[in-house]
Amino acid sequence: MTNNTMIELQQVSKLYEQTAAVDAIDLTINKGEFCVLVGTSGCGKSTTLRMINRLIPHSAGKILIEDQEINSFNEQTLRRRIGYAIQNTGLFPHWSVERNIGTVPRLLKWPEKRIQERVVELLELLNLPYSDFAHKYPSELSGGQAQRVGVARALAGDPDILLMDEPFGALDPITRESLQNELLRIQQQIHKTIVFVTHDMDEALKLANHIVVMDQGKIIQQASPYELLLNPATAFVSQLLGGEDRGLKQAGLMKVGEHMFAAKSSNINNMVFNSLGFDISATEQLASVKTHDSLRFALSVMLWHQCDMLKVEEEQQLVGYISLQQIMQARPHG
Amino acid sequence: MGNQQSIARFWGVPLFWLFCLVIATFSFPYFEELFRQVAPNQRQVIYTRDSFFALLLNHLSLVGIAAIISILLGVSSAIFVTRSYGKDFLPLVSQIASMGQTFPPIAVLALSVPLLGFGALPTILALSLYGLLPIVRNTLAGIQGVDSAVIESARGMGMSSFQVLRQVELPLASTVILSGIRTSVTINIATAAIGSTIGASTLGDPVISGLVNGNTAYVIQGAILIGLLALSTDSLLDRLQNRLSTRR
Ligand SMILES: Nc1ncnc2c1ncn2[C@@H]1O[C@H](COP(=O)(O)OP(=O)(O)O)[C@@H](O)[C@H]1O
Ligand SMILES: [Mg+2]
Repeated sequence: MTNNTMIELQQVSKLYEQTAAVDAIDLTINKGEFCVLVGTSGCGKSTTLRMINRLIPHSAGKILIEDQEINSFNEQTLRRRIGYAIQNTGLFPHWSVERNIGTVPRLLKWPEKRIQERVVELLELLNLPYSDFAHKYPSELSGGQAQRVGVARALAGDPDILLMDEPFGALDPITRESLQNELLRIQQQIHKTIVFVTHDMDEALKLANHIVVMDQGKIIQQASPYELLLNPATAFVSQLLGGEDRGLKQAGLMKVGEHMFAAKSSNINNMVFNSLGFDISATEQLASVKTHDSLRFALSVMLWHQCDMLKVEEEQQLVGYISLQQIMQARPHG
Repeated sequence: MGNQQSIARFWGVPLFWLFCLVIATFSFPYFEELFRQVAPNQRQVIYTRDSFFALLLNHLSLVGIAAIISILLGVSSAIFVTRSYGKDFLPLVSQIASMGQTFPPIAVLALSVPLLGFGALPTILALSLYGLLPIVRNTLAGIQGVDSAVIESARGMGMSSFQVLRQVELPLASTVILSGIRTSVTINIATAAIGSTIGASTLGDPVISGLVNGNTAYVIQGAILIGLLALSTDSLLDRLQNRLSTRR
């Protein structure tokens, strides 16, 4: 245990009757980490998450938050310090969006003015214009908007920890993806410690910097997304990773910008192109990708255009090239 | 201005019935000739033992007191059995609540006489017991109908059990609870009339007395007032319920 640790579970179990929903797990989550619990339905992810904010009392072991046992806190005080967002949003249907978001600040007895400022700030953070949304009721929101409000509400009390239980599970793929991107963007700004539950390995790979694979109440493997893809500990983990699709998933984690060769003077370009056996006069017509696109995306563009070389551009400016060969040889930096 | 108009339209129906009720309460003496057609053999055709207004007030207070008792008792017992510490009693209470509806009110009335004698008291007891059931049933349904995800997030954000009840469960159940109260009160306005048979003074007095003496005019006068009172109260509560569910 270092002072960088935010949440620590030591031999934590949850028993229902005689069966263990969670079975003696050890888990350390560092400050600012995006930790994703992943596994098939019923493996104990939600139970683990809810034990952290004491919605479910644990039957054995210790759960520590910043070195303090969670049972040493008052239950309500603990929960007001921990953001909580769930799949069905759980928004209060009889309260406006503004009032919903203000729930925890109001419980914390912030002055009204500060609560209102906080609501404005959060709606802005989640790309929901205040004038359009503050006075709406949950029934007037789309699924994606409701979930944004759910996330804003979880962040309202400015908690250090954010617990999220399949928050995007009920959304259509496009909305889900845009919310995932926003969550990543927000996390870059706020650096919370996030514990996120999903059964979707792609979502886990995309969001996490610490993936915890669970099965039947136990932790099977925990690692960074790259490490997990490179060295799945068991057949179960590689099956979760999608078997043969692993290559594509790995390519999905690597950015074009990290593996392209940068465009330098045209002489050097010439040399490189020649060594690759590529006709320099054809570069004008090349399809383009961006540095932040994944290698998986670049590969797809190549397949679509039936070519093995792409331009890399940022804001209409050429910044480099990426070839099929580079994609094939790319290895994650870890 | 437009607002005033819509308020008038919103409350129009209950106001209409209330207006009819007030007119009827004071105007029966002016229709003596009409009532004589109904009961040609009677010397007296307008009920005068008590003023209709006094009977109306008495009737209303019996129903009102009973309603307060059954609301307090009904809502709190439904709350109790939906808490973690009271859930053992849930099957019992919900069984009684659904069974009690099949029990005829006159039987409840008859059973309370041996306990409390004749008069207003046994009537209030019978009415409160009878009115309890729809309230318990609806409060249970209302609280149990609240989305479990909503409760979970309320708890997860750090509301105490009382805050969850007060800020989430009760407001979300309120329309259903109010509809139970409406049923309870409306039934009891009719049931209270039977209280006249055990010596309470209600709008049932002219009806009973008319039945005993074969004076149809008395029966009609009592019946009209009871009917109008039930209509006014029911439509008033209907509007209140509507208000609550659209205001959100
Ligand atoms: N209240 C409960 N009583 C008995 N068993 C439960 C209860 N809640 C969950 N379980 C069991 O615990 C296991 C883990 O559940 P959960 O943590 O919700 O799984 P997940 O979120 O990974 O889908 C499941 O097998 C489930 O059936
Ligand atoms: Mg779950």
